[in-house]
Order: sequence, then structure tokens, then C-alpha cells
Amino acid sequence: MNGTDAGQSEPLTEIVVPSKIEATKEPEQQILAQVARCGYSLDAAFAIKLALQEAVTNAIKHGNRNDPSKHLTLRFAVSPEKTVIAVADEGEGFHVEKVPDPTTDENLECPTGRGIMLMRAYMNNVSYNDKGTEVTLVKLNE
Amino acid sequence: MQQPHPSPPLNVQKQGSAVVVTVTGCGDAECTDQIRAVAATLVASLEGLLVLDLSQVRSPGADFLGALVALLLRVQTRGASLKLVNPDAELRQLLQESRLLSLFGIYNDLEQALAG
Repeated sequence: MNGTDAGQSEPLTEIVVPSKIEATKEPEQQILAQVARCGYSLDAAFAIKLALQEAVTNAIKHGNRNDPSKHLTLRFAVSPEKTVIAVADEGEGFHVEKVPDPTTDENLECPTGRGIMLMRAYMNNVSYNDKGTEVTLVKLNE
Repeated sequence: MQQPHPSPPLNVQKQGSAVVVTVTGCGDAECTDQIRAVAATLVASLEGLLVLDLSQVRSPGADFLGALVALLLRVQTRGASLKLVNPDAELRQLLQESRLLSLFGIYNDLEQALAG
């Protein structure tokens, strides 16, 4: 299934999968194969893989609350200039600004909450829709 | 609810008073399950030093980092210590980005960890 996104010039490929980690592996491989074909560095490919896995994990665990009857919608476009990936869940959403920063001294020993921080550390841009049910990741091919 | 991932058996060795665990696994869930298994099975009887050989860990993520932090806290609660051996460049980078390098003793090889 193909679709387009208003904020994205390249057409986005859309794939809907059950809310299970195993079901996300095929689209992940598809994205990473395109990333390799477009000549991204190994570091950039690692960053994209890591951020995608964190986004998917968050969507399954926190968004869809580990309910395999729900779905994830992945939309992506990979070009030689940049990679854009959006991961949407069917959850109630959240306010990203209320998530504690796990790198502050008081939160350093907290066992959870590092997924968003890692996505931000490895991607050029990470944004959420207003409801907090879709994260969009952007990596430039620098 | 999702089924839990089957966890590979733990590779555990005693080296004097230290317990050395070689963690294996590819992907965040598999690696994390190994760390949780260490926390569930070994920490209660730990008397001194726990060493995690991470040289075979591939593609961990945020959950793995969280499991390491949780394990560290449990080990410290027992008055024991935790050392990490030979994480690959990607894992070192994850630890650095997360500001977790300062929490863990990280060594290039097992001899260093046991001697340090």
C-alpha cells in the first residue's frame, strides 16, 4: 500500500503490521536494504536500525500495551538525501515533554525510559504528532 | 499479551570468588532476556564480583541498557560489584550517549576485569 504525507516531498510507502516485534522485521529489512542501496554509511545505517527498533518497541509496549490484536502503521521513504520513517500505534497517546530525561543525574539509575533519548541521539530529527501516537524519524545522508 | 522470548541458557563460570557470565544474543529482546535471567538466578547467591562478558552481544537497545542498570542496582544492594567486559563499539556508544559509562566499570578483557 502506498500513500503520501503532507510534510514529506517523497512518497511514503505504508505498511500495516500486527503489533508484534516479529511482524516488524520484514519492513525493517526492507528499509535497511534501501538504506544500503542509497549509500548511507555504516554508522548511519546503525542509527536508523536502532531508532526504528526503539520506535517500534515503544509503539508495541507503551502505545498498544502489548496487545497483538492491535496494529502498527509504518510509513517510510528512503532517498540518497534522507530517510524518513513514521511509526504509528493505536494507543491513547502521550505527551513526550512529560517523559523524564534519563540522562540527568537524578534519573541515571532509572531502569526505563531511554528509548526516546536514543532515537534523539542517533537521528537528525524526531517528532511526534499532537496526540503522541506517531513518531517520525529523519536521518540525513551526510 | 505477547509470549515471552525463550531465553538462551546462561554461560556461567566461577573464577575464584568472581562469577563470570558470557552474555549472548542478537537484538534487544534476546540480549535483555539474558541480563534478566542473570538478575533472577545469580544475584541472590552472589558474594563478591559479577563480571558480564559482553563481547558476543549484538544490536542491543534501550531495554538492554535498562536491564543492565536494574542488575547493577540489585548487585550493589547485595554489597557486590558488577563489571562489564568488552562491549563492542556500538554498545559503548549506547552507554556513552546514555551517560551510563560512569556507572559501570568497563574493561577490555576478562583478565583486566578480574584484576582491577
